[in-house]
Amino acid sequence: MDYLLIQVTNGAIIGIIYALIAVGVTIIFSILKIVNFAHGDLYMLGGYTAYYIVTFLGVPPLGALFLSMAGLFLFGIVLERLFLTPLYSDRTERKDEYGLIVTFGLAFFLRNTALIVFGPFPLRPPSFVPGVVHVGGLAVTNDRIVAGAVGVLLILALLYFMHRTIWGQALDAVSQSRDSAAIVGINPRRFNSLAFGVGAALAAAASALIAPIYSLSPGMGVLPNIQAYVIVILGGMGSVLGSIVAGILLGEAEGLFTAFFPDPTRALAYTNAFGVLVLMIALILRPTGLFGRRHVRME
Amino acid sequence: MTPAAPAPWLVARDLVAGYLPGISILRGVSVEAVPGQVRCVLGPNGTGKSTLLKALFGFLPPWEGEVEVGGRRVTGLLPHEMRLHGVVYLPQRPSIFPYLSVEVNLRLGAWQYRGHRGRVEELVGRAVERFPILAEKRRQPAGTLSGGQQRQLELARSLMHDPTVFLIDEPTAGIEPRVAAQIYGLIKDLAAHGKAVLLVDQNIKRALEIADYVYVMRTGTVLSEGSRETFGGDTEALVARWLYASGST
Repeated sequence: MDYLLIQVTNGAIIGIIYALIAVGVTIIFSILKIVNFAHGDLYMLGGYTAYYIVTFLGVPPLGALFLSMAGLFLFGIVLERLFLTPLYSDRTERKDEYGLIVTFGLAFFLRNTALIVFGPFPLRPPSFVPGVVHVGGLAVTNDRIVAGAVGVLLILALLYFMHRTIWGQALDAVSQSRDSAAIVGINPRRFNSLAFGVGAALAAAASALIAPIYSLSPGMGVLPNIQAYVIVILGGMGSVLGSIVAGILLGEAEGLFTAFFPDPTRALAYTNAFGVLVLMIALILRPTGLFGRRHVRME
Repeated sequence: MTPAAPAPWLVARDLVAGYLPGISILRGVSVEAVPGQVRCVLGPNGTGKSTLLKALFGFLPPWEGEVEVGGRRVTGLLPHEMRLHGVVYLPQRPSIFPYLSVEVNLRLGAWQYRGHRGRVEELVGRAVERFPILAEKRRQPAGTLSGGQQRQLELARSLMHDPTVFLIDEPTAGIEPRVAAQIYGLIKDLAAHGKAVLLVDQNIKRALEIADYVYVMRTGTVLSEGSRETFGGDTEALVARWLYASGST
C-alpha cells in the first residue's frame, strides 16, 4: 500500500511538471499555430539559468526560479521577434514548414551551445529545502513537495490569468480568431511574443523545479519535449485545462505502469512507451482528446 | 433651398488590390461613406465587393490608390489600428469569439479602455441594455447563439467605441427572413443616428430598401453609381444590368 502511495505521489509531482511544460506548448501552438520543437531546449535553458543564478549570485533556489522565469520570458520574446516574425509576413510562402524548420534548427543550436558552454556532465543545484517528510510509511523529499506545491500554484496563477484577466481573455480570443481580434482593436502580433514568452517562462519554471531532483544536462529537454506533445494531443489541441489534466494523468500513468510492470528490471525502459499507450487508448475513445473543443458552428 | 449633403467621412480613391501578385481583384475602385447614409455595394459574386471592404479596413493592403478617414490618410494601416480612426468592420461570418462567453466578448469589444475597469463595465452595461437578449445569454458561449443573436452581439460590441464608419459585409447571409428584417432595421437605425454605412449585400431587394446610394460593381470596377432614386427603385433593371455585367446574358 505504501509503495502504491509513493508511486501515486511521485506520479502526481512529475505530472505537474509535465503539465507546466505542455501548457507552454499549447499556448504557443494556439497563438502562433506552430509546433515549437525548441520548447524542450528552452526548458533545459531555464534550469541552467536558475542553477547559475544560485551559484554566482547566491540567490536562494526559489528566488532563482522566478528570476529564471523572468529571464526566459524575455529570451522567448527575443527569439520570437528574431526568428518567427516571417511567419506573419505575406511574403513568406510555406509558413508551416518555416516554423517547423526554424524551431527545429533552434533546438539543435541551443542544445549544442549548452553542451559547449555548460559542459556534458550533469549538474545539480542545491535543494529548495533539504530533508525528507515521513507520513506513515510514505517518505517524500522536501524538494518533491516544493516542486509539486509551486507547480500547482503556478498552474493556478496561469488559470487565473487566462480566465480572469483581460489579457488572458484576449490571448484566448487571438487563439480563436486573429482577424476577429484585430477587428476589436487587439494587435494579434503582440500576442505572438506574449505567448512565446509565457511558454518559455513556464518551461523554465518546470526545469528549475525538477533540477534538484533529477539534475541538469544539455540533453534533458528531449524527452519532456516528446512527452509534452503526447500531453497536448491527449488533453486536446489548444486546451490549457486539457494539458494540465493530461499532464497529471500521464505522470500518474507512467508512475503506476512502471511500478506494477511484471518485470521490474525492464519497467523503467518502457516508461515513455506507457505514455504513448495511454495516448492511443484515449484517442480511440475520444479522438478530439480529453478537452478538445467541439466544433461550434459559426452561423 | 436644399440642405447641403454631408461631407464623406471615408473616401477611397482608385483602389487596386489583390491576393496574389499580378492578379488584381480591385481595379481602380473609388467609393465614399457619408454620415447619415447607407451606401450599398451591389454586384454579382466574384466582383470584388468583399475584397473592397477588406482593402478599406486594412486586411488587404492596397497596391495602388488611397483611403482617407476624416481627412487623414489611413492607407496601409493594420486592421487593429482602424478602430482608432472610428472605422468598424462586420465581416460576412460574425467576428465573435465562439468559445468565450457573451460577456467576455463584449468586454473585449472595449479593449481600447482595458486599463479603465469602470469604463469597460459601463460600456458592457450599456450594450446589454440596448440588446436585452445579450443580457439573458450573458454567461453562454457566444458560439451557441443563433445567427441573428451573433450579429447583435457583434453590433453591440462595435458600438462601444462610438464609431463613425461601418463596413458591413453580407449581414444577413444564412439568416432567417424575420431576423434579417430586424438586422436591416438596425443598419438603417445606424444611419439615422449619423453613422456612415457601407454595406455589401447579395440581397438586392432588401439592401435597396434601406440604401441611400448604390454602387454597382463588376469585375473589380464600379460599373455605375448613384442615389437610390437614380435606379428608380427598379430592381429588375438592376438585376438585368448585373447579369449583363457578369456576361450571363
